Amino acid sequence: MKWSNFTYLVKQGFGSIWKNKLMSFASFCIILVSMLLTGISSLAMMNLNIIISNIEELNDVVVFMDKGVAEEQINTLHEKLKQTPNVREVKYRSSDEALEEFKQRYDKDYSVIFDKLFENPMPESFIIKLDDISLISNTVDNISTFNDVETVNAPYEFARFLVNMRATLMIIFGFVLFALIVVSLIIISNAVRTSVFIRRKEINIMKYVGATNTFIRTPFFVEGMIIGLIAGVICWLLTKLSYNSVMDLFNSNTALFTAFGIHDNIQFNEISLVVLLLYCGFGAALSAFGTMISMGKHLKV
Amino acid sequence: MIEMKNIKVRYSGGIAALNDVNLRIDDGEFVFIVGNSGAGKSTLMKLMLREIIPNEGRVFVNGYNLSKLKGKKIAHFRRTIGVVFQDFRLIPDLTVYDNIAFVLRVTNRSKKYIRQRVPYLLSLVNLADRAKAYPHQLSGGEQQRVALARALANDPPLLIADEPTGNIDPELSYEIVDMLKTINDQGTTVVMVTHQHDLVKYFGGRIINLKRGQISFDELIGGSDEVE
Repeated sequence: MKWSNFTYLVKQGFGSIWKNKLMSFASFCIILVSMLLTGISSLAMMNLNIIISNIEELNDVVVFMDKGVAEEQINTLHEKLKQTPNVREVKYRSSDEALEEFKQRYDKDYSVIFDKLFENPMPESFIIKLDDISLISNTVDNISTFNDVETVNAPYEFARFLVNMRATLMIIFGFVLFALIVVSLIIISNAVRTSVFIRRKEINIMKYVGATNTFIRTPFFVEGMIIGLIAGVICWLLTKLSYNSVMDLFNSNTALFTAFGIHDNIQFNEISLVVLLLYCGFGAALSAFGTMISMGKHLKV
Repeated sequence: MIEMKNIKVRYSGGIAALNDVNLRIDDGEFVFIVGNSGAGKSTLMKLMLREIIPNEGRVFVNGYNLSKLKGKKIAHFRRTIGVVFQDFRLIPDLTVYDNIAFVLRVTNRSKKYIRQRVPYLLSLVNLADRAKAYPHQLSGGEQQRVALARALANDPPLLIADEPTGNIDPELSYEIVDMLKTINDQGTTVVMVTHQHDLVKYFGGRIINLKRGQISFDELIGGSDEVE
């Protein structure tokens, strides 16, 4: 294809957006809404995922040692725990610290009782944070077999609840996302098919005068791509605005903020470029390839 | 040149549209194809344009074996034919000029060539002053002349006209056929399908009559314009 012809076809693509204003606008809206729904729900899910994993992190596994172990044994276990798989962080808590914590948890009046004790009943312990809370029972079983370990306290029930919740949410989200994508594709391809159908006469004439399929497709492809790109940019703007205003709402309300544990939620600025590229890419691809696929039937003359 | 050998075309339902048709049209001929509706005229046209391929037999047009053409080759083959339809088939939102230039762009012609060729074609059909008009601003006869100019854009060796006068006033029909005759005089093969017997009688030439899917008559007759 000659360059002058290529530029002509690209111009035709731009021109036909204007010529078919109504259909172009309809495709634009459909792509916009579909992508917006998909994009915003993805962002919501990503944040929810972070919130849950933050809550998961609050759950510590506590490893209690046998009574009266020597410093050397403590150090050995410390090292061993650090090297255990799925253990992210190990914090040593001496028996004195443990007693102090225990005392503070109770009223001052009762704390006197502890002062009367002449021996500290608290064992030496380690507080452990895990990488993956769903593997909690494996890790705990493993640690229980270590030397000098008396018991391991783990929030099994709560961990299981969180893990299940996350899995369930992911499945629901997966379904929602899948449904959204399928519905979008159907609607988009229908919209495109309508706009192609309106111009089937034109396509037919082109076939009779010896236009190759590439020649006929190029303007439609360009047109679809431009509509998709514009929809992508607008989508990005709307997402940015709505996302930031929801985040402002959370940030301005301390109760919500703490309740949802949002302290390291996704900042839009950090992912802004990726979101823009994804939207534009998907928009252009959806609309351009949708057009090409819908044209197939009309090209067989 | 068009050559058809032992052509059989059956449409779904087993109805034979063409049955054992043999036909040869040499370069430079002017041929009328006549027949009642349903006789197979449109099917014959569709075969020549490679819109369909026959169930049996072979079709050769301008040196192409149409049964074996595929993809891009079909497009290239069609560039060797000019086609005029009963319903003109102009693109409504392009001007007269662009409707013709469009065909040249399809075939990768340079801008310079297009700028020279389109006005020439328009003058050929006496429409030089309507270049900027849109199809709906033209009469039926004028629209068909634009279609004719478009068909000639690539200087094809073969021009196929499918009921070109079907949608225009009878007195203007003669003008269109006259133009086709002029084009033929310059060496282009012309095949015209029509059911207007008065036109055929007036102009004369080779007449092929189709009847129930078969050629019932294929002879040269003298036109009354030559007698007068």
